[in-house]
Amino acid sequence: MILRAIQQRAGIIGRVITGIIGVIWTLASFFVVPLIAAEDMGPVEALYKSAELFKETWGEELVSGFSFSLIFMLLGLPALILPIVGARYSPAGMFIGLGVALLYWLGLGIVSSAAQGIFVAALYRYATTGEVSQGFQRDELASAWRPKE
Amino acid sequence: MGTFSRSWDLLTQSFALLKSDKQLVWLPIVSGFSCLIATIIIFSFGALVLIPVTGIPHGAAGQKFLTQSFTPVIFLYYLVTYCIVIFSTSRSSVSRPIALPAAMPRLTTVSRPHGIGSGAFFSGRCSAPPLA
Repeated sequence: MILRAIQQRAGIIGRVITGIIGVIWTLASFFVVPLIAAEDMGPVEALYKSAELFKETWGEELVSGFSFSLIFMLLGLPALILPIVGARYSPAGMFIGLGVALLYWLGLGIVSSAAQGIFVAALYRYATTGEVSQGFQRDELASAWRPKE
Repeated sequence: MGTFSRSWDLLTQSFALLKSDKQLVWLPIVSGFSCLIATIIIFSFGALVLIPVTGIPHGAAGQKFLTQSFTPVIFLYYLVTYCIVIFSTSRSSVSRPIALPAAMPRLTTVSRPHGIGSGAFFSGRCSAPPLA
C-alpha cells in the first residue's frame, strides 16, 4: 500500500525504485509464514532467511513463473454478470445477484487462501529439503521462480 | 510451459490436496470471518469519528480532506487484517491448525512414528518433524 502510494506520486525513477523494493519485499516475505510456523523464528530473522532461501534455490534477480491471482481474477469475472442479469428483472434482482456474486467471491477467496497456503508450504519444503511433496511435480516447483533473462 | 498453464497446474495440485482434507479450509474461513469483523469495526469507528454530523461534504475540497483523513484508517485496516491473516496462517492460536501449518505434515511423504502427526505438531512448540 505504501509502495503503491509512492509509485502514484513519484516519477519514472521513483517507479523503478519502488518496483525493485517491491520485488525484494515479495521474495523476503514469501517464506516468512512457513519459517515462523515451522522453524520458530522471529519475523526479522524469517525475512532474512526467506531471501536467503530464494538465493540458494533459484538464484538472484528472479521473476515469478506463476500467478494465482491472475487465475482467481479470471475465475471471479463471470460473477460480474449476476447483478447485471438481476437488474434486467428488477432492482431487487440486482441486489440478489450482487449478494450471490459476493458470496461466490468470498468462497473463491477462501479457496484461494487455502490453496496458496498449501502451495507455499510445498514450495518451502522443496526449497529447504529439495524434496517434492506428494501431488506436486518437481519441474513445476523448480520453475515456479526463474532467473530474470 | 507458460506462466498461465504452470499456475493452473500448481493450483490444481494444491486444490487436489485441499479436496483430500477439508480441514485445511477451516482456518481461512476463521481468518476471513475475523477480517470481516475487523473491517466492520475499523470502518464504522473511522466513519463515526471522521464523517461530520452534517454528512459527507459536497465540495471537492471537503471530500479531498475526508479522503486524506481516512488514510490512517485504511492503514490501520491493512495492518490489522494482515496481522490476522499472518497470525492465522502461522500459528494455531486456538485449537485447530490453519492451511499452511496444517498442510505441512500432509505434504510430507516421510513416514512418522505413531503420535507425531499434525496434532503433536500443533499442540506445542514442536519444531517441524515432517520437514526433517
